[in-house]
Amino acid sequence: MTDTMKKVLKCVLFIAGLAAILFVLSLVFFPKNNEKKDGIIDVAANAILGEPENTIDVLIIGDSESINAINPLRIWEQHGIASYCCGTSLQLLSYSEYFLHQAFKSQSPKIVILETNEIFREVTLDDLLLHQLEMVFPVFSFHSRWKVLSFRDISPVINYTHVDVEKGYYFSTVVSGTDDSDYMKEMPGEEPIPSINMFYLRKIRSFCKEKGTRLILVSTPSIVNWDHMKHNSIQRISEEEGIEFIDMNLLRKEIPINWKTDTRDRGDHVNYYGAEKVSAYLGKYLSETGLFKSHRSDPAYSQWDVHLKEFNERTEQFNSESGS
Amino acid sequence: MQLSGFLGAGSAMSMTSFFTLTFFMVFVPLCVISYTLVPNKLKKYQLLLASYIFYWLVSGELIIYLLLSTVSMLCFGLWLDRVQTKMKSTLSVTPKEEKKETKKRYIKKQRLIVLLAVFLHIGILLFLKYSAFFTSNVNILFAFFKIPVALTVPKYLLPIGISFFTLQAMSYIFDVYHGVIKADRNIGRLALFLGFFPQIVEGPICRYSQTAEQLWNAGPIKYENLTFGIQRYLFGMLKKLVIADRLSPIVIEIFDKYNEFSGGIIALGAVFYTIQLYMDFSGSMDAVIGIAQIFGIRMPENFERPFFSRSISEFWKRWHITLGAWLKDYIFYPIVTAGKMKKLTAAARKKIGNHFGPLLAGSIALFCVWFCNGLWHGSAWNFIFFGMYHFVLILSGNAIAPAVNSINHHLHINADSFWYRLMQMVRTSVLVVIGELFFRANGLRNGFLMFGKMVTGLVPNLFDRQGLINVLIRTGRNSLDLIIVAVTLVAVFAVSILNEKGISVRDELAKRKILIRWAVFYLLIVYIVIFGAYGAGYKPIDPLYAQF
Repeated sequence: MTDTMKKVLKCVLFIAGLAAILFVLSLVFFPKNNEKKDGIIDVAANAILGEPENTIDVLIIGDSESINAINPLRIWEQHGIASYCCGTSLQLLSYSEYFLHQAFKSQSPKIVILETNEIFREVTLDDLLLHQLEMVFPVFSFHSRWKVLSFRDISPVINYTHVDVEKGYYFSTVVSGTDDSDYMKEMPGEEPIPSINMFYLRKIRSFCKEKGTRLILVSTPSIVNWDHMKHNSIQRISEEEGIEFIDMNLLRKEIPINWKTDTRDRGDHVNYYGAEKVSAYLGKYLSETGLFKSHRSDPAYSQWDVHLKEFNERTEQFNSESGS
Repeated sequence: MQLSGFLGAGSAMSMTSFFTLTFFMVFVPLCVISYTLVPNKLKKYQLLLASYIFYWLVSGELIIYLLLSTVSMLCFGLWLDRVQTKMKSTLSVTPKEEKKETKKRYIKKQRLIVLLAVFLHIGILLFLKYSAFFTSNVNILFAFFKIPVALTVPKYLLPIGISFFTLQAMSYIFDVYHGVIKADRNIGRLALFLGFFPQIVEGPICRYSQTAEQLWNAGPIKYENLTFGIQRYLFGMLKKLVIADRLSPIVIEIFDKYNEFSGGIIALGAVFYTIQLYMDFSGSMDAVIGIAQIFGIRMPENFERPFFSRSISEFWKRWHITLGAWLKDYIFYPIVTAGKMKKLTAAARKKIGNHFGPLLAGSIALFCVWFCNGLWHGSAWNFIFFGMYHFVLILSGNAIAPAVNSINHHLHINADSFWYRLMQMVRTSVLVVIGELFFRANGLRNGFLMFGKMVTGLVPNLFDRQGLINVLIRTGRNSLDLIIVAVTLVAVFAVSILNEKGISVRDELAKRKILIRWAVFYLLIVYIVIFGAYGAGYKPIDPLYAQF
């Protein structure tokens, strides 16, 4: 064996050894439960892992727009459809794809809703590379769990027990209104979409197609984050890629958001009152697809009514405290 | 033509940090592979191409400034060379009595050329970097004198690394002028010397004689260079990702909201910032030197364990060495050796003695050095103050040196004893930390307010446990973060002690058996993977010195 061959072999062996170590570390660092104390970030979104198998009809992914605007419990109350919001603040499409994979391990939703605001949040090459590393070696994703590691982590047994009462929805009754005189004014042209974002959008579409799941792009109402140029971009993509698109920002009659009272941060996100209107519309839309039958009387979904009761009590308590 | 976005122009800004995945998992490996594949005689062109691709990706159309600097270097160098050659040939046929006058004439001409070069290179730097600072201060003056004029404060895009490559280009022209090096006719060699991709973001500020030939004659990658280079790079990554970036949010919280914290926490913030800055900058230098070593290039060191310094003067010989050396060679020496200064020194020597005479004259040069040092770091008053602070410390240190020696002598204090040296190191470090407080503060006024609060509130709040807990909670950190920083610092400190004793850890490790070597490398990599501040919950932090 030549000297060069020996050196190449040494490099290959070193890398193989490193990969083996990272694999073992990934087993140890992978969270064994989905609670905050187990080092889980984005606890509410990850709580989908604790939902009983194959009980979620609709999976929602997106950034903070999605978790502020869509209230799965209200959709449940009105139509008996079980949806779950896996949105997180500043979510990137790469992270959405991760949630999709995670959720489909135990769920088979018939519809996946992708909130469109994040399509414009650039996924950099660094994000892409880190995401790929995290998929192969989860230790890159969960390395910060060194602070909460225990002997239990040596065992590979995973048992997700945490469920989120609000099913990923972010409840806020704060009112901070804004002027809507320029909202969704006609504008020519398109907002550019970064190429890596398109790559992930197509990956998400392919994944859904492979799973036989319908993908719907939804733009929830936002004065700050949405405009006609973004609408034009998504409209074109939806036509080119054959993906359904609902722009709630243009449905002002159907979803009558009052921007003086229905936003918590001057038009960036809708608040509880805005979410009620968005959820009512979305629930009706989902129901009219004919894909779902109501699970209200299904005992497998009994926890949904318990959670809805808790949520309603919370809102009633808030209403009585605020005198409204 | 709109160049933004054209062929990826400026699309990989994140690569200004040597520790991003794009840089070390894509760009560097691609460079190494393509470098290995091209024939030996073309390797220099591959390095040049890679360097320009790198700059194009991080700076886009601002690459024009790098090109302009390179062409200007070539032209001024050749112009000086032409005048020097003409001077020599003229002097060889000039009668002896006229030689002095002729030489003087040619030197004057050369000086004019150098002056023009300074005007162009430093002028561009001043224009881009300082015009906003200048106009905003003029506006303050107008307002003060109630003059109803307000100049528009300009905003220019600053090319990455311009503060570094401008000094490097100037050093080439000065060295040609002084006859230290011959003017180079090869624009490719000059372009690579100025634009070599690892060094362009944060230096080190290399001299032509240090790297130009090495780069242009770079040979095949050797296995030893590859492994040593990667090891050095990983050590830098450890410093940056585990220590500097983990401290960053804590430092930001304390400096941005200092009025909510006690003097003890402000002092801690200053210490943390000093550690962060050192680990960030020296870690980046480890990356630069390590990557250069992969290609067989030896770059000058920029740090030599500065916190082992016994005086501020020594500190600056160990911290950002290449900047200090540049300022010494091209500002300090030309001033102290100027005719008028020599006369002033001689006169002062007669009046106030052999110690204070040269000191007084030298202080003028020292003032210029430290004014430039402060200003080089940024266009704000706190940077100028930072320079002046170190000027005063060094000058006063030099002034009282004989008195201190005399006291030590009379009190029989051994200045070379361990405890005395330790006391000097601690004193120097404390002075450095105070300087860094002003350096990092959000403006000079805040610097003074922080300093005042720190001094008056330090003793009663020296161990402000609750304050520290508040900072940690606010930044989403806990005591474990500080423990891991402390453990890593101890490891870096241990390596520094060995280096200070002349022991190279890498050389020592290379002598060990393969299993031990690999175990150490695996440990280092795993340590960075687990304890590095990256991924969810962390914001990537740009290298601190790339901003200067």
